[in-house]
Amino acid sequence: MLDNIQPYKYQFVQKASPSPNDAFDRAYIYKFFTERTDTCQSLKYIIRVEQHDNVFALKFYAARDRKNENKYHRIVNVHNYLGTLRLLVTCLAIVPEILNIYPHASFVVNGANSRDLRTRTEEDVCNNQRFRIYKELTLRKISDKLFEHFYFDEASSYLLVNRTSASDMVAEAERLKNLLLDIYDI
Amino acid sequence: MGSFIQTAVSRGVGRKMSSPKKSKAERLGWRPMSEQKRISFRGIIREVRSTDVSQLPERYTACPKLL
Repeated sequence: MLDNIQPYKYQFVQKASPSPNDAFDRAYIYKFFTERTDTCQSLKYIIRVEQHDNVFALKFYAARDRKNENKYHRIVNVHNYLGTLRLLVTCLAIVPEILNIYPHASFVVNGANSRDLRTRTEEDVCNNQRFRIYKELTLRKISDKLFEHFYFDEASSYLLVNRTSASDMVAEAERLKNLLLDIYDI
Repeated sequence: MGSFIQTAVSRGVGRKMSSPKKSKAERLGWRPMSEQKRISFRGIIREVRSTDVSQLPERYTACPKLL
């Protein structure tokens, strides 16, 4: 079924430099629009690919939530199953784009835990729903030819380590893990 | 009499009783947002383990790859 899901047509927007409070080195920003459905108008989505050393963090959100501090945690709840997969396949399609610029790039995706702002409750951080979906999709769509796969259920993070970036993949994954924890850990 | 009817209705007498519909958050046992702020990923990640993708079941390996 995944064979039939094509990414949305995306467009490069800009390369962004970090502001004083940002931890990334630079960010590549893309946009795409979902299709209009019976229940929802077309939505604009932003994909941010934030570079930290040689690892790139893939992030995306609905542009209408851009000023919402919970934009990565919100449940947009307008897409069906296939529509959601198409969104995610679009994000994965950015990976080859980045590899064209940085052939040794590794990638990390974190599954943000969902938050219900009405009841002020949130999903558990560990092994959350977004992470489980990202993991299933990545294992199906990305082979082990170019990347070694690592995932951390405890942090809901998925790490693709580029085989050309180091000789010892586990040591490189450990290095990247520590690099990212230095940036993102509370 | 009137007050009795009001009381009966407000208590659901004569109606099929059902528990109030739970929100997704309640069904899944989500916790208050304030409780999860102090989680340290460094403390909960136990080890770095590579995943042998080639040994996965066919539903994974049979799918055409992007890369």
